[in-house]
Amino acid sequence: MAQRFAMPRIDADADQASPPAGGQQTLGSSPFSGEPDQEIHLPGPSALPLVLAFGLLVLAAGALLNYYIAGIGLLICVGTIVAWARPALAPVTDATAEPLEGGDDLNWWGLLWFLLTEAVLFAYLIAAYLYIRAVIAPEWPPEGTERLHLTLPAINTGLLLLSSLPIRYAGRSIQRGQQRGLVVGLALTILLGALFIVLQGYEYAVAGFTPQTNVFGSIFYTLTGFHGAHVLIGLGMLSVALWHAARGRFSAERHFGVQAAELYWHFVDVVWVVLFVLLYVL
Amino acid sequence: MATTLGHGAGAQAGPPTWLAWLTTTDHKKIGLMYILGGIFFFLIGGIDAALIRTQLAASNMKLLHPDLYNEIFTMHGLIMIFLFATPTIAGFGNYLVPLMIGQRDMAFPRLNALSLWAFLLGGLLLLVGQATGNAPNAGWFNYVPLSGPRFSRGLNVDFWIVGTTLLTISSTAGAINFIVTILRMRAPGMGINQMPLFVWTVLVTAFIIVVAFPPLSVSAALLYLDRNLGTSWYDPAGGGDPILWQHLFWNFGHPEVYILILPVMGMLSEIFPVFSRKPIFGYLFVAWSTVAIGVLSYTVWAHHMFTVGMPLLSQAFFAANTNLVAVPTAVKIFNWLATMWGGKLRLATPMLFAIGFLGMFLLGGIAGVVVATVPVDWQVHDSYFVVAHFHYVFFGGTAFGLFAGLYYWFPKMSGRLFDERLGRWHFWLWFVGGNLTFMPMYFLGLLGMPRRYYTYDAARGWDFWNLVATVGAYMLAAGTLVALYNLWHAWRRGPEAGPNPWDAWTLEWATSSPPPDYNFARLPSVKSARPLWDEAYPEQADWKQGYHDERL
Repeated sequence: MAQRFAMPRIDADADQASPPAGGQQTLGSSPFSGEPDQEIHLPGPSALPLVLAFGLLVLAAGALLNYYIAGIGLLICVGTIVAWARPALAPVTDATAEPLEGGDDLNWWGLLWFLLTEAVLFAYLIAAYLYIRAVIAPEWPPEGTERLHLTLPAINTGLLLLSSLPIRYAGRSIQRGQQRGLVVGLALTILLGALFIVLQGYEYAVAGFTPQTNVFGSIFYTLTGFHGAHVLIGLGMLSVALWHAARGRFSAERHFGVQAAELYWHFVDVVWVVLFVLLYVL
Repeated sequence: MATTLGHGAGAQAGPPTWLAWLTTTDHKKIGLMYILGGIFFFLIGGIDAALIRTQLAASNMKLLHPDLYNEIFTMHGLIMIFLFATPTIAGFGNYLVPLMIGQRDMAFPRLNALSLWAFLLGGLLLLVGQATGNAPNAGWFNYVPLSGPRFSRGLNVDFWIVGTTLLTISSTAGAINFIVTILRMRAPGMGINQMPLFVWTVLVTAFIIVVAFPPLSVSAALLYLDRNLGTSWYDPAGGGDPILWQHLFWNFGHPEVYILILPVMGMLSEIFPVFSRKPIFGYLFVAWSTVAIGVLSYTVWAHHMFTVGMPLLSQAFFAANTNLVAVPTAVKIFNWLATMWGGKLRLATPMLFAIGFLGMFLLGGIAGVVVATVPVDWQVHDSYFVVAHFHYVFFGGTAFGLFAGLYYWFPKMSGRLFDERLGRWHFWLWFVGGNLTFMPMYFLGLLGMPRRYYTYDAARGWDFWNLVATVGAYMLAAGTLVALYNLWHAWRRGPEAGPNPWDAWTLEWATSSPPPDYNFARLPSVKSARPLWDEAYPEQADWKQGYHDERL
């Protein structure tokens, strides 16, 4: 970085605005005024993006041809994502450790925008359901289809709501640097989430209709299935977090992985409550 | 120019190898691959267009098999929208946004690379479909029931579904990246109202993408379930509804139209001032009219559906909203005209294309207001009138603007100057050819020619205008070849461009051409939207004059 960037005002401000030497160091700024407010470390070259895109391609090809191929694609994707998330999870203990991509703050922003697109996805699925129910269907549920039973999904709702306590406990523990509380909280959350999936599977098994029966079945299985897939993703995030937590890789200063898993889990919770009301109660 | 460069900051560390390109996280390499990929697909989509026009050149032609014709017009639309315009815009955004906001890279460089590869591999998948006779063949908007399990049995529509899904992942990841980059990583002192206008439009476009691509994913996922798992979302026999597809698809499809035009308008907002030697007229109006278009873009989707039998009140609602879009659009056009007014115009190639955009886009936009009028739409819906309308907007608007941008920033990306004379040839071939191709389509639409028809009878009297359109299309092909030769030749042998050949004012021109790795040796700090002007003329600096300094 021997060369000077010769815009006069830039040099005048260099003391306050110049990051540490090295091209991968840079500054972030506030959203509206553009005042520098954080240091950012940019990552170097990586093969992970290409491998993940390749995994998506295999998954897509599998969706066209053969579900075993799709399974292989899914495995490639999951493996790559876990490897990708690793450096962000590992705490920076010394100068040689690989720092975060972006700052925690940028990751947080990225996550929130990602959750917004997820929320919009669910909103359109729900809108499609309500459109068919309110505008198209002469009666609901359609003739010959039994009403949904409430007991099992009510228990499931309770399980998910309950699970937001241990995940919050885990998040609060690591904020205070308490490793034990983190591990216990994550493990409990995973347990409750897994139970939810099991009960959901049981509900599928005993339901008196299938996705093919009529549009009622299509709606029920699409919406709960799409949500169930999100529960599984959440469980995956929690499990990866637990794996790293058990090895003491989070600290009070560095625990974005836990925060991300927690926020995602709360999101999945909230979506379920909406689905429960609209699908079962309404 | 007193500007100098961050040259040598690791730029020539080693010769670029294939491995360096495959694993790169550099926004400039990613941007270039996006643009080159986009141009590659533009050629494929252009060949499709030439085949369509040849098939339609005269009545009762049998050049192509009818089934192949269906695949070709579907792929033409899919490619031009998803594989040319969207990714080329993303490429310009990638290349330029970090430079324009005085930054070293995007917020999430690896995610950025993922967006690129998902686009390229998704495009490849669609081409494999076309090569194996499985190309989508139900039109680019893929209406059910035609695309449903009953009427499309092959893999063709499934290729549409998985292809667009990969491109959705690419666009959504890219959009999140742009939002975080632009909102959280601007050069010190660059308040939101000191951002270059191109950055403004990329930001608004990214917001639109984040909210507008999910309905596409939902529509595609439900169609996949209907086709492969036997659900009845779109099937009336099981209680579903085919119109649901149209609502979901156009909830994406219409905002997509603005995704394709807003960043191009941002490019023009950079080009007009530089080639008129004046600051942009009404910066805040240009910036915030972009936001207005973005918001309105969600309230107009059903104007694609006036003929499906909606209640008249909703038709009136969507017609009124559609007409409202003309207001912020006109704000931009008048601001550009006022920017040129009294300026020292320099009619270099980028400016020619920008002015060409004004005329062509206007001819398309006004027709947009015409077809938004419900009774007119009932007459011309699904006719060549609509085809003419959106080609004036997409070709005359998006493609003209993209080439204005390509010529404008080519010296920055390559470090070379292209040949102005060939640039003018390209412009006139496209301007004349574009009007010859698409103006007759307005007439054909009014004469009753429906879109997507394989051929037509001589007794219809459509022969003459179809032949004119085909001649025009060949001129467009010739113009494209001239452009490719010009840029390819310039890249290899063109004269050195230097850091700032156009004497422009935004930060990308403050570093060398092409910029080194990580762009700037020191992060720049700015006080107005024209930092290089401020530097060249400190006495008349924008921030002293109060230009662009309006706070929120």
